[in-house]
Amino acid sequence: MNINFNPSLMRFVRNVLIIILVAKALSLVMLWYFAYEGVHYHPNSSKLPEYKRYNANNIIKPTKKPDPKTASEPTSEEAQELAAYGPNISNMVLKGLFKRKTGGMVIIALKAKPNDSEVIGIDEVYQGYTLTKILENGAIFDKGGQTFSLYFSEEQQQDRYTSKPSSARQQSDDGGIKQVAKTDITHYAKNVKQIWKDIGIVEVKKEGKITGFKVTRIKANTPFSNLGLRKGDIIIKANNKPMTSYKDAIAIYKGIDKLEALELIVLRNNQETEIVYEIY
Amino acid sequence: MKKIALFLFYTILFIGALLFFTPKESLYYFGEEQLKPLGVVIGYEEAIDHGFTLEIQHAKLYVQKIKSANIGSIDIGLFLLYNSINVSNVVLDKTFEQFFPPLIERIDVQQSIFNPLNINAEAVGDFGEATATVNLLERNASVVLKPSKTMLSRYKNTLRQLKKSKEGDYRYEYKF
Repeated sequence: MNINFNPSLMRFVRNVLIIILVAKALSLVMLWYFAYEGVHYHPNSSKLPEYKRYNANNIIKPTKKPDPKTASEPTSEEAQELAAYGPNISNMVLKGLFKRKTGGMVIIALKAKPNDSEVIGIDEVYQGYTLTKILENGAIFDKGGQTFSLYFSEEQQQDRYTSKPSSARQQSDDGGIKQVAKTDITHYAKNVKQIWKDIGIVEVKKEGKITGFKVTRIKANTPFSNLGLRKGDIIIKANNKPMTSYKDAIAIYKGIDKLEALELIVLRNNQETEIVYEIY
Repeated sequence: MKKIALFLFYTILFIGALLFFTPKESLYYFGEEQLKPLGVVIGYEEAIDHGFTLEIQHAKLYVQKIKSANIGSIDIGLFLLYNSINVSNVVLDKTFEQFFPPLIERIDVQQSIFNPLNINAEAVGDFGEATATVNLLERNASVVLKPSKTMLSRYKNTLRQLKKSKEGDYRYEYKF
């Protein structure tokens, strides 16, 4: 069988094929040059920063004010109640505790080295003793299947009910602990516009990077005016997390109604000042 | 004459084939990498190559690691002489609801070889209508906003950040 091809048609088809092949080859070169996969972002780092504060002045605070008439009695009764759990650990001293529904922590030290204290939480071990429970006035430990108790000394109990911690709360102009109503938080969380009416905050940048957020104005007689912040303060940390992006600030804003406490570190006159808010 | 026609045909065929075979998905990922240093990340998207155009569906936009918007679809068409990006159904994150109406129906971005130094954009949404021009040579961007009634009544604080013109629209200029 003899087939006659038109030479010019054949040349045309060849040229078309060559052009398509060259285009395909170029696209493969591009494929090698460009990215193989996209940029991924995993937003797990936007978790609300936890409140971590290990300060004995905050931890040893009055949980309830005892009746002055019976103030001398409860110590021994409480000690007896704790002793019912097991023998007291004689070589240790309980320096402070922070009790929460979900756990808490205690500050503990050896009597021989009272200044060498450690903070331990539930299920953590100190000198072979595992902390199992935190009570109002002491803590329960476990060692080798036996239960031990550790409670405040009578002197410490007196200190717990003195006004020492509350004096810290009175440092209203210089930081310290503030009480903030959850209702105020909820109100502002739902009315963002009100925030901008009551307080002015702008970013502070150094070499193109955000280093904090500066308070430019605070409206008088608003909840913000009682927060201990001052015009010119630069908020640099919230709950130990540096405020270096809008994401950090928004993470606090989005989760503020879930916080039980908030600690701000502000730069005031070039000195770091700590302000702690307990949200009730 | 025949040779000129043939040359034109081959040229158009080469450009068409090149556009068709260009790995648009990889090109898009390359673009994503360029945006990353600016703090802009488009995540969770599905990229579909339609031959001459690329469609991005169900994307989430993060700016400075803040979830900023859900994007319904992005159609990217790169035709050398005329390039366009059409974005539709952008819903801003709840965080921004207090500052800006959440729904942007469409954003159309165009760049043409006949005006290569300028990128033009138009947007329509609950906020009203906006047009923007980016001058690549002078490195500036200007936005003209014709606010909707919702924008005028509920987002006065945002509008205060813009300059009101005599014509009644709002303008914003930015240098980069």
